[in-house]
Amino acid sequence: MTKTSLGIGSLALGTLMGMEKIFAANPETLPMLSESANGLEGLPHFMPKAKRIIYLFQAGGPSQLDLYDYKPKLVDLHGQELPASVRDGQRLTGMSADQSSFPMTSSAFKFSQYGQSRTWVSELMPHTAEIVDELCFIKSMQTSQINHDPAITFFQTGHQLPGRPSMGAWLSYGLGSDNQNLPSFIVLVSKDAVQDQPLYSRLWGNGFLPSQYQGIQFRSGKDPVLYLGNPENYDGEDRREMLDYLKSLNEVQFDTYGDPEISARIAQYEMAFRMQTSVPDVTDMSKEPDWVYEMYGEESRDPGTYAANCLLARKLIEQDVKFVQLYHQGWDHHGNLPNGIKNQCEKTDQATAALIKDLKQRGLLEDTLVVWGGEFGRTVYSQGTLSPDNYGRDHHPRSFTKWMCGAGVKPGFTYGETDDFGYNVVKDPVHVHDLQATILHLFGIDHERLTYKHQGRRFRLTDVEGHVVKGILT
Amino acid sequence: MTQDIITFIGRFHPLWVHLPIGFLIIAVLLKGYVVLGKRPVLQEAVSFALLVGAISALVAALLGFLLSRSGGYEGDLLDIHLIAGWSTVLLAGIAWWVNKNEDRIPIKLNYSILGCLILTLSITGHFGGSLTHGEDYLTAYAPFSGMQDESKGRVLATIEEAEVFTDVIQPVLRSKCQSCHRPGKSKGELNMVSFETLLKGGENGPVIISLDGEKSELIRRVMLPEDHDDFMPSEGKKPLTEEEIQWITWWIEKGNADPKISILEADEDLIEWAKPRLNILGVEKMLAVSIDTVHLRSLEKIGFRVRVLSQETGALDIVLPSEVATGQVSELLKTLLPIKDHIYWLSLAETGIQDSDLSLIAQFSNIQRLRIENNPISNAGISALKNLSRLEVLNLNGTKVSSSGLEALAEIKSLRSLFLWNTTVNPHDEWVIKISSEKVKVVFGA
Repeated sequence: MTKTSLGIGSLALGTLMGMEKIFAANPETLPMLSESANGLEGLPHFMPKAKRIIYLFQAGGPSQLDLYDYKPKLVDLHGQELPASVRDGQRLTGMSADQSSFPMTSSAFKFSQYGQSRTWVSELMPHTAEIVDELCFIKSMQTSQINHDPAITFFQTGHQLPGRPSMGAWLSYGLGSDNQNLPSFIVLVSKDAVQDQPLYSRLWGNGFLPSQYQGIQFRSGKDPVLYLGNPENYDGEDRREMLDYLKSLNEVQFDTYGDPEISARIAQYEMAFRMQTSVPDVTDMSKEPDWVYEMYGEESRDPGTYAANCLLARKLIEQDVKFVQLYHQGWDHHGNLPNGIKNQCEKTDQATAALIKDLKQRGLLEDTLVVWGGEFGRTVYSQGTLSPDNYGRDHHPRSFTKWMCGAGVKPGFTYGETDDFGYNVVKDPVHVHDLQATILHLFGIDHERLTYKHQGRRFRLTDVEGHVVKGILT
Repeated sequence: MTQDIITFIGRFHPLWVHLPIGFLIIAVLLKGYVVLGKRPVLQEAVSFALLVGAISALVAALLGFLLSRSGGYEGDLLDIHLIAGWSTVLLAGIAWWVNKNEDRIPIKLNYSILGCLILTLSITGHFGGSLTHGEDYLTAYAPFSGMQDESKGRVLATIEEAEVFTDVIQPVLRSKCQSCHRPGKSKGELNMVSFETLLKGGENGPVIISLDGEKSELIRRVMLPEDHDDFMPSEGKKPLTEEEIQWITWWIEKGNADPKISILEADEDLIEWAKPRLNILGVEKMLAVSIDTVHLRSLEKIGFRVRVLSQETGALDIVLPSEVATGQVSELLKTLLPIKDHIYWLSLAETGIQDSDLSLIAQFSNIQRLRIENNPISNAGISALKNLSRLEVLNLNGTKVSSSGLEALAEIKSLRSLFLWNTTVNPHDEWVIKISSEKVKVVFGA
């Protein structure tokens, strides 16, 4: 089930429903404003700042203490027991709860200040350090979940249990598509990551929303979507004719049963037909000059790597795909953190920074939002033995760092603060639902008003919570 | 004195009319029960109900006639009500006689007469109600009637457009005076529905003396003590508020009773009072209301990507994909002219637009974000953009512009981002440094 949204076969159930299909009977009688954009009537609720989003999900929980949340006092406290007053009786995971000692661990990496914003960044992220003046750091992120799957599910769907629609599905459902030739919600998973914790396709699923709003995962390889070419001696006109007949048959079926999924199916065949040309165009890397690959890193020449996915994300954004979701696994450093995180950063730092620079110079950062971060942070105390050159860190939901960048968020800005131990938030906490509310806000959506009625109640991405973080908005 | 007696008796009409209505309806219901319920024993009750119905209808008609004599009622509504009323009396009498002599009359004729009776009764009742309460009383709040909007007053784009008479005085007259002073029921022969008829005055002459509020009957009557015989509105109807009287007085005295005078001429207090009562939508919302969705649909058919940015303002994000634009971009741009004020974001990247096309784009005065990168555009065309006073983001990547041509852009005070990657403009150019210091972010290649 984890691969259900792969490949062209699934496209039949995949993305957006073409307007011209639903209203084929009478295309002239379409009074609603928003229908021109194929979204919900009445949306956006107000003038948006963002038109598209790239979410660089760092699955596993990157250590904020070794990357962005600089805690110089820990140098002196290194090796000392974490004060009970700081932990304040917090329940820990089963992996470190039984430890006899919780030695505070200062980062093994050197921090310096960069840019006009004088933002502290560790030496692990030299490329990101160059772009800090574009970024808006939230150092006071908090989540309610301490284990991977519930925490990622919480971030992507607003609830820790599976079954809710993902953020991208909500956006597609609410705002529709800006390019009828491509899915509006595309998912790219790095092939070059340590796949220590699994990802499930429900993280980009449609939940109880109609099936065309689910994210479409592109394959991490040379052919992002399979079977796009026509068989030999079978040209596009034949395909067209076949689809027209198939459509008439499906319409007969629809007239009999009235199942909306039949209309979705018809629309998906049409989408797949359009993707036969649009996908090869957008995934064609041959026109990218060498300097682009140098910018994103040599790995970007290898399709399916994080770097190549960053480059592909830029190309998809150029085609007005609304939501591009990247996943890069392997940040779950319970032990051997210094080596592990170094490896992770080497694979992602340059491409991430290149993506921001590239979007900026092309003017796309004006209306594209980029979000970087994981599902939770990591503990200040070492999981396992703290040795002079090695340590691990356990899951830490109470405080971690995310950054956002681009449309509508303050550049070169840091929001929120943690205490000297990097354990608790002391200023401007931002909960997962707050971040979700803020992202929807940037798209012109009032998160309390984007709802879907299912099993007798109205659901929304932010459940019953969420406050827009006004402090990070331009 | 006789007139007073006539009026006194006539005013029992609205009370009395409910009797024949009740009697005649119960008669027909009973008849139905007799036939369908097979209870012939009740036939006598049908005849009895029809008899008292006919008699009470006659009395009601006489009272109604007296009331109509007391003045203030006239016109088509009254005539219809009158004819229908007498027809009801007549039909009720016939129905009674027919039912009394049931055996001798074809059964179908009997039913037809009863049907006609109910019909005329309904017509009479409806027009009677319209006479008393006004023609739109029944339907004003019906869904989809459109009358609700009308009662709110007309829609205005800005307060400058508001006229004292149409937007302030007339709504007051409508709610406080016109239930009596209107066509069909011009009490005191005064009809207040329009400026012209109001000016004409009533049976005692004009009610408005321009420039003289005190002498204007309209003001005098509403300013009297409430228990005074001449006080208006009469009969315990809601009196005018102080502000409403102030407005009318101001209009007559200072505004010279000019129907077109703007409300902004009045005192601030009065304006403040009137503001929330006006139906001001704002220019942007007016635009949203006026957006032509059929045109949007046809643009999409051509290949434009059209997206609504805000339902409230009708702001649009328009993208012309380069593959659609090939070779015909100038013609395609012309199709945007009918919606030019709605275009807030516009992307024409790599569409082949030229300098000559920019003068057309310069007409899109609400544009905030303009992407015209990777096009053969040069300095000659850029100056046309300087009048886009709301432009915030301008993407000129990959165009032939140079710093001398960009100086025109300094006039755009709203500009905050300018993209000049892949142009010959030098980041260290004097002009670039100057405009950067004025809070414009100028972006070159990474």
